[in-house]
This record gives sequence, structure tokens and C-alpha cells, in this order.
Amino acid sequence: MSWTPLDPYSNPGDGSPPLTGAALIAEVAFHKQTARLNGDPIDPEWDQWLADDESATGILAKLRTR
Amino acid sequence: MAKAGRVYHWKHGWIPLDSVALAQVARKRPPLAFQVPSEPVHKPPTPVRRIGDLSPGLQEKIRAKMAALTGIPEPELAARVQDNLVRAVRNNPGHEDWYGEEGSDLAERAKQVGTTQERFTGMVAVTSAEKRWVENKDFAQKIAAKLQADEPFKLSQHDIDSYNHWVAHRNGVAVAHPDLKPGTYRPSQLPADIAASKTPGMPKAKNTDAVIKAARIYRGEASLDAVIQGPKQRSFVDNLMDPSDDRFVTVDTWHYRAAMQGIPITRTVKGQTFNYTLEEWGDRDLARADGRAAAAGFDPTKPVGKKGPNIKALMKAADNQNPQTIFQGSPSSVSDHYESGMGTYPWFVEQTQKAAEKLGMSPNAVQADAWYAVGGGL
Repeated sequence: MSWTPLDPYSNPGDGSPPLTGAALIAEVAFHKQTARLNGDPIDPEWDQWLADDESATGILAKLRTR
Repeated sequence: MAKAGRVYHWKHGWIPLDSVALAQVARKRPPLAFQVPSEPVHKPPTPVRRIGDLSPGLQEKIRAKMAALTGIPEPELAARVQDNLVRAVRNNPGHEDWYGEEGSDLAERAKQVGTTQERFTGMVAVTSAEKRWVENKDFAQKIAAKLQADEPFKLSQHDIDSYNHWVAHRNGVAVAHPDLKPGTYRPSQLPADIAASKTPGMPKAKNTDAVIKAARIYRGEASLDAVIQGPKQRSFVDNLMDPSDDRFVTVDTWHYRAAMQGIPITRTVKGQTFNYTLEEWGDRDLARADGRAAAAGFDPTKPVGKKGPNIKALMKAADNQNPQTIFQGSPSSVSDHYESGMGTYPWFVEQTQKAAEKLGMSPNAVQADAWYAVGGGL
């Protein structure tokens, strides 16, 4: 094995942080659409992501009352 | 130029792809047509630095922050933290080889999915957000298995339009592919971003960028040095790849808790100053009793509930006062910006290395034992 270690103190970005709010709603919508087009099952976990996200549930609640 | 097709809107169903979206697609269009690189594009990795290699000014700033947070002179605080870690290890031995054992497991899984331990470890690291360890390994393995199987699938114009529309409305690592034609493709024949997003059965992440990055690592299109970000993630990969290298320590929320047990931290919230241990800062009952919850909007005449403003206020007052907020100045999803003066990562690394010297162990073994001591685990 020829492993070259990563310097912890370089490349200080934030990875791929979990999405929230409208961005999360769009991501879940895309997952569902892709699953439908592919004939894949819809994972209930995706709706749980939205339910657990205060800003996403707030946006969805406002849209439903329009 | 992309055809003005239809896209599926989560609320409105199929709608025409609007001109704004098309313009955004055009702006994000990659400069060249997709081509799998024949050789991985690796830049030479940065030389590894120890804490002592950081500038004296930065080291001093970090030490001063730790002293200011605790009101304890830094040398005394360092000694107490080292004692905490030594005690945690002595009281909870038995997990010293966690990184060695897990590194071996990753190597075995990597073999099963036709890749190297290095690449598979990188895939695990970039997909780790909000996942427990075993779930994290399984998730990365599923991505790799899909890419290894490389089964052909039909990509329709709807698929392409929906992908391009999605890309046009988000910030991330995926780019639009307006010139892609409908047809039957193997994932390896597609750019990694659309392969990661559209391959049937590909696992879905809360942020698809993680899956795209994992696919790029698997395909050798991105080096770990380019993709793994932040001191915690980079140290975690280093520990898994070579547990014998004592330069790296994975400082996560559990390690902060183990290191700071019983040491009060002073913070001012809404004009009021409190002096609490990490456990107390996160205690919801205490936040209700001392007025922090009320200051965050908590209404004691109404039930806490599982949703709504009251639980939100409690979380803001207690849960959000977590180690990352205190020691990194940011949520746990954001890496420690130690160089900005907000973070303290190198300081905790240093104390762990010193505790390890006292115990005659490697720093990552100390961290693994301490992790279990404060309730971490799989």
C-alpha cells in the first residue's frame, strides 16, 4: 500500500453539507421524479428528510395554504 | 442547445422548460464534451504539517481562544484536558485498534466492489453526512456496486431535461449536459454527475453532491486530496488508511465531549453570561430553568411537542449549543476553520497527542477509546 497522507490543514472546505429548506424540497422532488422514471421505489426516508427540516416544512405549509 | 422540452415540477407536474432555466443550463454548460480521463488527474498532495508548523501567531490565537472560552490559563487547561483523555482511556480500554479493524473492513469491501481501499475510504468519507458508521459503509458500497455492475439503462429526453432543469436551479458540483442525446447508456459512458443522479437503483443522499463525489472517486476522476475537505474528514481518512501514523487525530463531537468533561465554558447568550460544562450547555431542562429557552422564544404555558415553535426554541437554546458551535463557531456540518480564528481543531489534536504519549499509545487509539467512553460508537 502506498498511501500518501492528506494534510489536515489544507483544503478546508465544508464537504457536501446536508441541504435544507427550498434546496432540500427540490432535491427530494428530483429523487422522486428520477425514481418514477426509472421504476425504482420511492424511499419513505426522503419525505422524512422534509418532515425533519423546519424550514422545508414551513415552505410546504405555506404553499399548501395558497 | 437543449430542446425546449418538459420538466417535472414536484407540485405542478409536467411543465415546459422555461427560458430562464434554459439560459441557466447554457451558462452551466461544460466547456468540453464529456470524456472519461484515461489517467486520474491528481495534483501533488500538500506536504503534511504538524501543529508546530502552523504560524506562531495562529497557534497563539487558538490557545487564547481556548483560555477565553474557559477562563482557565491555557497550560492548566491543556493539562486538565490531557488528564480527561487519559482517564477516559483507562476507564474504557478495548477499542484501541478500531481504525485498524475498520480499515481492514474497508479494504475487504473495496475488493468486493472492484476498487482500492484508498478510493473506497474516500467514498465513505464524502458520503458520511448524517449517517451512522455501518450505514455509511453500506451506502458507499451500494454506490460502488452500482458503478461496478455498470448495467445499461435507458436515458430518455425527459430524464435529460429533468436533470438539466434540476442542475440549473441548484448550487453544487453537478453541471448541465444539454448536448446529451437520449439512448441506452452504461453508467461508465455518462458523466459522473448524471450517472450518479440517474442510474436506476443508485442510492440517494440528502445532498446528491456526495454521491457525485463518490462516483468521481470510484472512477478515478478525482483524487482524495482534492475532494476530502476539512481537518476532521481528512484526519479520519488518514487514520483509517494508516493507523500507525501518529500525526493525525479525528476530532469529532464525541472527542470534544471526552476532552472537555467537567470543564465549564463561558458564553454569553442574549446578553446573559453562563458558565456551564458541555453537558449542561446541551441540557434542555437547564435551558428552561435559567431563562435561555425563554430568550429563544419558548412559551412555558404551551406544550413542548415534537414540532412547532416551542421545540424549535428549546433546540436553539440547548441543542444548538453543541461542541462544534462552541469550538468551531459553526454547525457540525461545517468544518473547523481554525485558520480564521474561529476554530480550535489543532489544539485538541495537540492535547490528544500529549495524552497518547503519557499512555504509550497512538493518538487515534486514545480517540477511539475516549469515543466509546462518552457514548459514541456504531
